[in-house]
Formats: sequence, structure tokens, C-alpha cells
Amino acid sequence: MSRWAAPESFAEFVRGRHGDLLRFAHVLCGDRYLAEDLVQDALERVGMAWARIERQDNPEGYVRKTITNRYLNQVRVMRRERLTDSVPEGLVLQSEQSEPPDDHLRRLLSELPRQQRAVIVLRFYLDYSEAQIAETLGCSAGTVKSNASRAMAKLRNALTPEVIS
Amino acid sequence: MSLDNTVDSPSVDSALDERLRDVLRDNGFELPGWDDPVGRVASGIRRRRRHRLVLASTVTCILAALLLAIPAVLWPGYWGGYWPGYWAGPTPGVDSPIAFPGDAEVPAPAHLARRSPRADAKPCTELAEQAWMEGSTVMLPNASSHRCTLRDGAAQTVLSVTNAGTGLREVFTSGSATPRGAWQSPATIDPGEPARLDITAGNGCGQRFEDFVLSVLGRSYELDLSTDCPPSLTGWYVEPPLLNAPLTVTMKAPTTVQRGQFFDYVVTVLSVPGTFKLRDCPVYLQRLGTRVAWRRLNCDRLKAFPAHTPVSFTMRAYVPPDQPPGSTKLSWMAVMSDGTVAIANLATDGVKVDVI
Repeated sequence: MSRWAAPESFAEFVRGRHGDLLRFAHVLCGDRYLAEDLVQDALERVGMAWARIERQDNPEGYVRKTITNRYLNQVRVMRRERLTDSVPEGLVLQSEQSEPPDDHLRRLLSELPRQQRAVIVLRFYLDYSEAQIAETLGCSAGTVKSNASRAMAKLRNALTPEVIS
Repeated sequence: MSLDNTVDSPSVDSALDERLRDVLRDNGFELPGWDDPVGRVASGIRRRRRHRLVLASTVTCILAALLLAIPAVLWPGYWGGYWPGYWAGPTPGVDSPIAFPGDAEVPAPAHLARRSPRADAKPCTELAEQAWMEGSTVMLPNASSHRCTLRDGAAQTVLSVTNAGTGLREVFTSGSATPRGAWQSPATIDPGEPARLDITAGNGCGQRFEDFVLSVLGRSYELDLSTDCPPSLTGWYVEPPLLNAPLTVTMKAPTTVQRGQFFDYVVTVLSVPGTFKLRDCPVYLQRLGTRVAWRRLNCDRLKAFPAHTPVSFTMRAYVPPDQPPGSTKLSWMAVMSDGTVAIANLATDGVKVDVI
């Protein structure tokens, strides 16, 4: 079997877009290393079928969809979490009172269920419509609405009007 | 646009939307790019391709193994008996006949597998127009198109004979003697299958009896028989046929054999449906005219009859000096360990040989 070499169009795509994809994955999962794994995994999958995906005119959308679905479906396989008594180094626990408002909102986002967090990220980071979110997640628009509604309610209840404004 | 339709305060909700956009798009989620993104992804893709190749090869090997193994398990003879387990070098008897092992005779097998008894059917009403004799046994076939049962009482079987000494006709009824060998009674017979009735010698011999006429169901059958004893009749019975092993046996013998000398002939066994495993080496019956002998096959290294592969055996027979010259029959029948039989040239029950 000959050694596989990346097609030029694929190499150009990876070079040009991997930064944005890393950021999207980071926003989605909230973990730098998991984000890198998700992007690497998605780009490898896309690279294996690049000729077909390139013909569909929106490779980046395909990669984002792959990242999202891998995050929702395979995250448990890729990174099995182990509960330990000790706190990981570098993590500083802060009380809600002393926490800056942006960090407080980020923490609340990280506590959302994955499906709800994905809906929020696709909506407010990528400005996707309900239909686009439903298509990306492979669910109905009603499911998107209910997930968004629950997520927003949790955030609203946890944040004071002052913090929101 | 808000996704939350249950908001009490539109202003608060709109502010939350904006806060979310700001937080998600600020630099807090910025990650440094990779030094060599293309090399990193390409190496991962090459690893995936290697895994895919290994997986495909493994699946192909498993499928190929299954394709070979499944027929061998379902139909043991599918690979002509050359599947591991049956393999023990070249199958004996394929290229040249297996040698005759010797003239040692063995006892007749204790058990021959036969058809199980038929359940009783409607009484027979339509029997063949002609009966025939095999030795002292009357053979009378069922001429109807359905199975029927021939009972002694219902059949009104009567044998009338002429006592040559007195010149009078004497009448004998059936059921006074017991058949020999394997039999089932009452005689439930398939269409074309004969019911049997034995005529044996009764007490009081010394008188000549001839002109035998058997009456059954109002029909009379003249029998080519005469005795010096008063006849005694068994009831009607059937001899259940032997069950055949799934083997086709043919034999080739010289057309002319000489009295007082040995001659060789070849028996070929072919297993068509699949490999026929041999639990024990079969015994065989060789019959030449009236001379009958049981011997054991030469099964040296032969564990099975491979499917679709003829296996030949050299046989040896002796023509007794007192064998009458003329045509006679050489027949051969092997008996397997389960009692089933394989009869050579089944349609003719052997081959014709001329004794000189």
C-alpha cells in the first residue's frame, strides 16, 4: 500500500481552518485537550473521504457537524472520566461571590447537559437557525426548542439581572 | 431572535442572549494553532488506513475460513472427505482396489435395520390377480392404489389340496404356523407390496399332496407346489424391508467362473450425499448360488467413504465343486454398524455369472 499523502486542497483547508475549528471545539466542550482530540478526529475522518466531502461545497460545515456529533456521541469513549478525591492541579475553586461574571457564566455553561450546551453554542456562537441546529444534531426542531428553553431557564435562574446586564 | 419562548421579561432575555454571544466569542476560548497541522492530520489518517487494512484483512480471513468451515460442518462430505479430521493421507481404495484381507468368516450381524411397522389401515379388498412363490412362501401383492391391511380372519384364506393317496380334496386354513425370520403381522401393505404367507410341512408325512389352490377374498390362486406332508399355513404377514445406507454399490465380476476355483471381483462403494463415516468396519454377505459367507471388509486406514469418491475393494469367491453348471447369481451386501445395508447392484440384486 502506497504512503498516503494529503491532497493539496485538503492540506490548504487544514492549514487555513484548523484554528477556527479548535476554537469552536473548545467553545463546545470547554476543555482544551478534548477540543484538540475532537478536531484531530474530525479532520482525520474528513481526510479519509475528502474527495467526496469536497464535492459537497461545504467541507467546514461537515467538519463542524462531525465535531459536534463526536462530542455528543463519542466523548465518553474518547475520554472516560474517573472520579478521584484529589482536585487536579491548576484548578482554583472560587466562590460565586468572588468569581468574575464571565467566568461565572462559563462555569454555568460547562454544567449544562451536553445536548443543551451544543444547542446554545450552535445558536450563539455560530448563529445557526433552529432548522440548521436540528439538521446538525440530527434531531427535530421541537427537540432543539425544548433543549434551548431548558438551558436558558437554567442560566436565567442562576444569574442575577445585574450579572446578565 | 430568542429561542426561549417562555421568557417573562424580554429585556432580560435579550440581555442574556447578548451576554452569551459575548462570552462565547471572547478570547477566553482561543487556542494556539498546531505547528504542523497537515502533518499531524496526515499521520493520523495513515494510521487509520493501516487499521482499516488490518481490519479488512482480518474480516476477509474470517469470512474465508467460515466459507470453508460451514459446508464442512453442515455437510461433512462437502470437501470430498479431505477436510482435516478425515485426512489421513490418500484415501485407500481410490486409485486401486483395497486388497482382499483373507478368507476368514465372521458371524452374521445380530441386527439388521428394517422399516418400522405400519399402522393398521383399511381392510384389503383388491389383491393382485397372480401370486407367486419364493421357496415355500406365497407372495400376494396389494393391487389397489392405497395402503391396506390383510387380516387372516377377514381374508378368508383357505388352501385346498389333493391328497394323492385318497384322491380327495382337503382344506387347510391359515394361522396354524408361525412365520420364520423378521415379520410384522397383520400384513399392512403399500400399493404393489406383497403380503406373505408361508406353507410349511405339518405333521403326518408320508402322503403326497398336490394341486395346491389358495383362496383369498374369494379369488383363487393355483400354486406350483407339491409336498409329502400335509401343509400348514402361517398367517399373512409382511417382511419389513431392510433400510439402506446412503451408499451406491456396484460390482464387476467375471462373466464365467470355474467350479473348484477362486475368482476375484471388485466392489465399488460410492457415497453421494456426503462423507459416510465408518464407526466400525462393515461386514458383508457374499452369496454365490447357495453358498453364503459373512466376512469383514478390509478397512485398513479407511475411516470413511468420502463424498463423490468411489472406493473399491477386491473380493474373492470360491466356486464349490458341486455347484451345478450354468447361470447363477453373485450377490453382495454390506451391513453397517447401525444395521443399515448397502446392496451391490440393487436393482438386480447382484450380477449373473456362468459356472462352467
